[in-house]
Amino acid sequence: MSQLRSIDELAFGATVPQTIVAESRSDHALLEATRAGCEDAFAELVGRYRNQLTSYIYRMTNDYEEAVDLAQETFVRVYRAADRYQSTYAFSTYIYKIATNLAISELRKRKRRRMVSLSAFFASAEGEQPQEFHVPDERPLQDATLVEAERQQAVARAIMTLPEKYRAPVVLRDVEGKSYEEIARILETSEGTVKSRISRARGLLREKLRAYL
Amino acid sequence: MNCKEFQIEIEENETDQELSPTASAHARECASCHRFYTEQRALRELVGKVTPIYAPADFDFRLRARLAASREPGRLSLGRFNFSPGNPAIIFAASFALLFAITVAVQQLRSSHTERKATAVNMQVGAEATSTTVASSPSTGTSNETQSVADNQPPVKVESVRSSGVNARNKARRSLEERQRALTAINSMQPRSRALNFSETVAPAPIVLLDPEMHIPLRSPLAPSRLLVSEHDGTRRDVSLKPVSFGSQNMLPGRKTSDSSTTGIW
Repeated sequence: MSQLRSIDELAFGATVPQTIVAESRSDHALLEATRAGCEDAFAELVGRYRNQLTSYIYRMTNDYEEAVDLAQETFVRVYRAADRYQSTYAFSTYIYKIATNLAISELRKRKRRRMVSLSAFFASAEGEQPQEFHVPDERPLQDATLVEAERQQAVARAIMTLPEKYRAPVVLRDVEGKSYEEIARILETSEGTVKSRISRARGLLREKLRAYL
Repeated sequence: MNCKEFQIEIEENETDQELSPTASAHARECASCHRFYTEQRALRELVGKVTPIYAPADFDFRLRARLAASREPGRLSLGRFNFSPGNPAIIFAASFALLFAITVAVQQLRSSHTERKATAVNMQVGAEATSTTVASSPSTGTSNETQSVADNQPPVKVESVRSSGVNARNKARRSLEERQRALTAINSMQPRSRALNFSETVAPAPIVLLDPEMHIPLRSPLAPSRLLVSEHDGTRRDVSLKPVSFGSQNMLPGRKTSDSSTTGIW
């Protein structure tokens, strides 16, 4: 892989104008071309996965800026490790594995930081869960769009409350539509464990979202 | 099909996948499994229809900047490891190596300095020894010897003077070769000098002054020599040294010696 000398060299699509990246090329072929120095191929890979990764990491972290940052870090790692990439599994498995590891690492960092919730100061009694403050909504009655938005927020919140070991498989399965086999490879665990965790996660979600079912 | 098998099939089915005939038959018979199937399907549709999240418009630009920054000059890439001058691990390793090198150098310096101190005895043999302040018991022989013992601090001077004999004074003038031989003999006396090294810290660079009046008596005193040692802090110590003979002597009864040399000196 060629060494980058300036930011201008990474103008995807402009570095090697004579190179034509066909839409039908597989991910493996694109990564091979990236390894050979074709920046267009890497740009194509970025185009294929940037939204998927951003969405997936957002479902894991519930922080858009963090999701974008981690998605970019995922691509940086793919680019740096292009020489060492082995096409044993699908490229999507490979890139989702990197993204998952980054997201889980970020979640663990957050746990260590232990952010203090302001609502914790308003717990009415010892041992009672603090009630979130809701600013009174003085706007007109909600229409169907707002109801749907609220439903979406409820789903997002419910997913975020899942333990991380349940969150990743259920997002990969029910949001990203991955197969059990691929999820097992991404999470580096057995299919049986994946099925068990997904079942447990759905049970938890069913309890939290019962009002919307 | 029982309830457990039914729930497993529901869990593993794709969202839009139809139930198998046996599962459909079980759902019709079992109300709880039918409710489970309905809720499960609704839940998966609800979760699957979450609003997709899109990357920002400047995603590519930011990624390009990030890739370019990761390849900034001055960063050394060795396989899996990237080194840069500001890497804390490199700073720590370099500091440790520097500290280790300094420690080894200091230890070597100390050991060499101690060796020098152990062997360095500043001996002055000359006529000026006659004016020293410490005198041994009277003796027929002559031994003028000034030993300077010092350490890093101000040196401790040990001066030992034995009264000069008449014979030695009369035969003081000798050739340079004779004096050189005498000097060699004094150097061979260093083990005795080390015994006077009280603190194992002796001033470096032994200096032996060649004095025309230098002579080494062959005869040793019969009585013990007394050394008055004045240290730099004012402490004074009295040391008694037994008579020791050097050179060719005939030992006589009653601890008396007689020189085999006719001159009395080398």
